[in-house]
Amino acid sequence: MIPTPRLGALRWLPAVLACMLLGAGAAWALEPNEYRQLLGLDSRRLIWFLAQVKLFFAAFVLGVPLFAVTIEYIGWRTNDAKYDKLAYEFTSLLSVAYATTAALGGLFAFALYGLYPTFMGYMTGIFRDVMFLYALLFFAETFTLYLYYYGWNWLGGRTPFSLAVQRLFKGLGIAVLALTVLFLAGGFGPPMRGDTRWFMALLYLLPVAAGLFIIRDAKGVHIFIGILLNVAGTAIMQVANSWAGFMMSPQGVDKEGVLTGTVWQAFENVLATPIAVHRMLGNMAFGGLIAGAYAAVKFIGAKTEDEKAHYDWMGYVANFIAISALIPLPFAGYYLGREVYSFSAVMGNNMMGGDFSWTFIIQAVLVGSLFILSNYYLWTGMTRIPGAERYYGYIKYILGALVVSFAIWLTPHNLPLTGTEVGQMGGSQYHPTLKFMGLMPAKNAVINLIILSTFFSFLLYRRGNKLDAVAISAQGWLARGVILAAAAVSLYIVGQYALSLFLLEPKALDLPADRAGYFRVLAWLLVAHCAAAVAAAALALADRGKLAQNLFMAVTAFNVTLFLGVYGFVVMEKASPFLRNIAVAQFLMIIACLVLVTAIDVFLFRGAREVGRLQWGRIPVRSQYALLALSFVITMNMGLMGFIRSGLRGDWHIVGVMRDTSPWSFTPSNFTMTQMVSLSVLVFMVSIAFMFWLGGIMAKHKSPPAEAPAPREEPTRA
Amino acid sequence: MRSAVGRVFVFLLLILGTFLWIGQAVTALTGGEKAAAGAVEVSPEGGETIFWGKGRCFTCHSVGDRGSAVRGPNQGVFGEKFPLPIGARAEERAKERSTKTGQNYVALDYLVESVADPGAYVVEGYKNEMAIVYAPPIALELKEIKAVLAYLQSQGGEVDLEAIEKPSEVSQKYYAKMAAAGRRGRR
Repeated sequence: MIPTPRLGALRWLPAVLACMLLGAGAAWALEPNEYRQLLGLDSRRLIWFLAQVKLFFAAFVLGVPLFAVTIEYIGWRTNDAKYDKLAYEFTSLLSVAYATTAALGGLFAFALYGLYPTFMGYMTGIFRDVMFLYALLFFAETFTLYLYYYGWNWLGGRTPFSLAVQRLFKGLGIAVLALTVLFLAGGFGPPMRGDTRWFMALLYLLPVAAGLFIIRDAKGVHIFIGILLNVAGTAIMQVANSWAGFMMSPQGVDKEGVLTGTVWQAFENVLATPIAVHRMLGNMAFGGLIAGAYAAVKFIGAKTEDEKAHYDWMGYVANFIAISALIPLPFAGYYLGREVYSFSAVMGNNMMGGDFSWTFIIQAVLVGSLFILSNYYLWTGMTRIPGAERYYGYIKYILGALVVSFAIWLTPHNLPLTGTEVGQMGGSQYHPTLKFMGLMPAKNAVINLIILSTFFSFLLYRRGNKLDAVAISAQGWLARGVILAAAAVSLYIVGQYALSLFLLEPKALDLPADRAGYFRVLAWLLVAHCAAAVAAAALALADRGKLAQNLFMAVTAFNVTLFLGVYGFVVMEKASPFLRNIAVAQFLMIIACLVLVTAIDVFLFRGAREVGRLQWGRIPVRSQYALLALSFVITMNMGLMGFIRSGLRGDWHIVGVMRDTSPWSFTPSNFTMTQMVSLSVLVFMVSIAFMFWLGGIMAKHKSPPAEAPAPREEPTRA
Repeated sequence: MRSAVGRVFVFLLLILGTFLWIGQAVTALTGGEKAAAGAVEVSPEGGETIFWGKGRCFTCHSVGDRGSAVRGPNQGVFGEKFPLPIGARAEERAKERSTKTGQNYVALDYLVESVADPGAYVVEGYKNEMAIVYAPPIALELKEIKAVLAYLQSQGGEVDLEAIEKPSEVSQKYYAKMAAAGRRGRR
């Protein structure tokens, strides 16, 4: 039953390598810049390629355990073996990719130390202590992965532990929870930014507390090990991100690069946490979509109906997870961009209006494609739901909204024109109408509409085979409690920001006092949104759930897209620094809407009569190509964004500290970027396909943890 | 399964091909490939390399029909707003500057001041938002800035390399400031 170990000794390579190189770091930091080549190759391109492929694997290896554990937990709580089997299948993908990730990490490190010795010597000198931690975290991740994967059957028992043991774990969980609260309150730990503190509390301490608290049997212990695996993986990512962040926004060093502060300050530089937050969500979406691609290939090649049903369901779950992470990703990106601007306006301008402005247009094409493809997958998925044809009529409107939004999303502000063309446009380089579409108010409005439209598609999908809404008043205290709690969360999210805007003084944004009126308009709009949340909750509790959802979504769409889409231009003209507050308000209203409408939806159709059962596997093959395209596009997008992030440093290895004096010190063109990214994507996809094939060979000789039949007809949807 | 993998591989190549085509088209639309600047001489040619490369001047300024940026003033002849290129325009601006400050500005002084202290005399209709090009992340060295000055002079003005090397008192103070800042950073 226990699978044969197939994680080779390669996994130790980065750790051994890091330890091996630590001693020399400080000395190298004082040497003049030196660059080397391997076989006459362009060292930058070589490093670029290795880093990108390594990051693809790393993102997959970090993303998959996040949802493998979640799915395992669902299977454990619902006592449904098919979820456990699915979680195991996801984890088996992970195990084959892990050794390659480690090997690539070793190769990448060797290449960096060999080709950029001065730079790496300096980095090692600054981050020596952190690199030891990094190596130790690799040990932690390897051990927990071993235990998690190979212990699946061994720790699969459901026999409850004795009450005393259960209470011990609960007590430990409560103790860690108390530590979490203390940590959040600044009770211990070095001084740090608020986002770093929240990141560490929510992703390290809180999951450990929850994992301990839920342990009641061997399976619970297994889930706890999975949580520890995620904690170790996230920590590895945070450490590596701190190096990337330091290169862009160094802290704790003077202009000569001498460490004048603490290693912690260098570690917790301005961009470290924003990058980590963005990458965390990105990894989850990426892991989900790569797993979805695996399911899609399996579906396309499936020989039996049962196989099709299983891989259809697997693809659906993977896509659901990916979309859940994809929806907040633009906001995390906005936050990261804002922090880049805050650190260096030049860097920010270069990002959105300079070297990378057209790269962002390509990125807009990719992001827009991701959302359109996701919607398309949901719509084709509705064909396997009896009764869903009632909602087909909405699709054309959603598609219309998506296409218009997409077009606006990718419209540049100014166009590359000749003098003659400018003359024909009345002497301006800006198109008289289209120029508005290229500005942030329009972009923010449409990306929020894209998110709302995708959410609407998901709501239609969920209710596809449900006949009538169920009265919430008849569902007991749980339904009422959850809806009220969701309403409270929505009110808090939006209300606290409204309050802060009422109190905001114009001088805080370097604006004259008479600009306060612009703040108040937005604050009152948020108050109106809170009122709509109260009305929606009241309607839902009065068994008018559909009306409640429609009302709240309509108010949100109006506020976020129409009102603020137009008002944003007014603010841009009269109180430009306040524009970022508008973007935050749009984000908060969307999140509040998603929280409350989802809570209502869960109970609105809970136990509702069905037109028929879901027919897993009965979905057009083209839907699987949509899944595949999603995975390709998100991989390309990751490569593109990595190019932008790294390229923002310009002619510096470490901005303001160490110049790049190599022959490759220039920003490559977008064509070069697409060439490098395409090559990396191709190599990654072929490699991972090969590894999945290898994993498949192994799986043929092993028994899965549960022999549950494939879910041919499945009433439960995530 | 083999045929499925084959079909998926072809599908992947199609998507990557589209991506490459977009990259190629965008690059062609925006001025083509760029190359490493390398060491430059103080000359219009050297300045052109810096302007359209390492200096990132092109992210905000176009020169006539070349480039698409509009954040900063066009440095060539462009529409009614800019009937003169910057080399000739600088003469006019220097006269205005002399009147305003009481100091004797020549065209070169105006150009040097505009680079060293961009907020000193902002062109009407534009914001005071130009990057400090001798500070990170751009961090041009004084020699590179001199090359850019030569390039700007060559846009309808008289290129005077001797004056660039030995400028007036007005410019000298800015040179000292930029030289000190440009030395920043380990190399």
